[in-house]
Amino acid sequence: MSDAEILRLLSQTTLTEKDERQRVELAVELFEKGSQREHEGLLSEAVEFYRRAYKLDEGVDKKVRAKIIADQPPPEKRRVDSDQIKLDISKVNVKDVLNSYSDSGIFPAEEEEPFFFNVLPDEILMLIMQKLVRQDTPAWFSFAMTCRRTAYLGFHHHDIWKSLCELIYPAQVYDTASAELNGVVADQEDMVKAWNYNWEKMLCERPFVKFNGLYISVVNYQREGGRSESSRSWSNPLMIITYYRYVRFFPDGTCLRFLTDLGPRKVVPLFSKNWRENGLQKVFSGVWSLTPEGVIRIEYEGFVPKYYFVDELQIVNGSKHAKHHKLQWVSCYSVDKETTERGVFSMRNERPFAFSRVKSYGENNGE
Amino acid sequence: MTQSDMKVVLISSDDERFVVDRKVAEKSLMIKNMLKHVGNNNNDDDSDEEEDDDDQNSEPYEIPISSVRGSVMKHVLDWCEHYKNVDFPTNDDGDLIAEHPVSDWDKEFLTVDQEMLYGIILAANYFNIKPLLDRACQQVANMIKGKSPEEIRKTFNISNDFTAEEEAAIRRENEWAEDR
Repeated sequence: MSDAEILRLLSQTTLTEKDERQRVELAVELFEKGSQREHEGLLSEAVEFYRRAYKLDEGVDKKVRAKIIADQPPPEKRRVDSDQIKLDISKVNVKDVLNSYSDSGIFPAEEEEPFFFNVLPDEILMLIMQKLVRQDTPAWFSFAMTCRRTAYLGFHHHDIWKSLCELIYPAQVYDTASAELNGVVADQEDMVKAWNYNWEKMLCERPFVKFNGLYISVVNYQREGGRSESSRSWSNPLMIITYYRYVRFFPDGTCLRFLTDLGPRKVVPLFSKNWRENGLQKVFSGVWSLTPEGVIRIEYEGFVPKYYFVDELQIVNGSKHAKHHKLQWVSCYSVDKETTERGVFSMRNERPFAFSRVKSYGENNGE
Repeated sequence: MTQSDMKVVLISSDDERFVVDRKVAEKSLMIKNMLKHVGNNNNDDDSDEEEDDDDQNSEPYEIPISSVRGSVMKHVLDWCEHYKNVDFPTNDDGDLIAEHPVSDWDKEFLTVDQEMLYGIILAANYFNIKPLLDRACQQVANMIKGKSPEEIRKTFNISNDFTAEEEAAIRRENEWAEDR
């Protein structure tokens, strides 16, 4: 059923007189639409769908759940699909596992099919792996996830982590003063001494800004809406406001900052240095720098020429397995260009940014 | 006979004989090093003068290559012939200074089945022809790009020998490093 059709049905006052089955079906459909909207971050629309669904049928949530379970394949079939098994991987020590692969060979999946991949010695596989790391880092990951041999070479071999470090850190734009103070130098061989020559450890622990995507912060907050004059409703409507903050960094020290109610699906393809030509409005371009501790400082011109604006964000891990994935707000303030007086903004409602990789961002440098 | 006229005979593992100009054969650093003290090389003409005289007018210099078969050798020598007048700058370690974009000619040249492609890679490695090795590896890299691990396994007929737990754990541990 299309959205328009649902709305038409809803507008019919006779709906309550319709037979029971259609009412329940409609409620379930509305609930599913709400769930879909919620998934997209369109909370106020989602709430509207949920509200109407519950109005039609108080027990709609249970019916939706029953439907989801009924739609699943029977348990014995489900087991075939490895994605659906909940694996207990908490006890797997990845370092030990990779170590145990040191002598693993590469074997054909289909014995009858031609298979020559095993003729390539490690040094050649490493050459290919290094190309992938440089040209298309996700492809390195996929290749290394192919079998034990490639995982050993791709994840265990320190040359790969060294290459990643040598690609990543020299592309960072460090704040000159704090970099000097902390002895940050361009030579990564020198930097890695502080991590006992463990390149992987350095990459895990030393914050960096990622360029092959953008950082998104989704903010939802509620506020009480007003009733229209003629409304006979007893309660005040509750409005849920959703807005997004987007930040994209470039290795040349510039960045784009965008505050909007447009969702990622609309913004991501347009959010480049050509944002104006792409039809976006009110994107601010600024300059950024990073301290060795992982505080990013963004400075940009706003609407008011009397001031410039500063965002300070701390790079943190998203989880144990999502290194340098999030940006937390430290502060946000304006600076009067004449008096250098600061005006600090409240960031009470703000949410941290999370990184999203965008394939096309990795391929060209924001042009 | 001058250096550039000199012919070299490369004999493949299956006893095929390839007669090529010295200049073409010297695309291979391995052969170039081998030939350093052979023939009228302008660079070291004092000490080797007498040996050169012995070789003068003799049969072309023969080099048996027991690890490369004829079909692959033909391909590799075609490449050397095509690029005989091109210099590929290298650093002191003999590594290429820049990754060269794969030209249309190379693309065409490297459009071969996997057995031949790996044969070319191994031969380029053995002969020490860095630019050819680089391009052939690039060809393999291009076959990997944009594919999921499962699609890569399919492309190269590689068996997935992980246990499900290991695969999931390794994925979780390293996935973050894709973003940079």
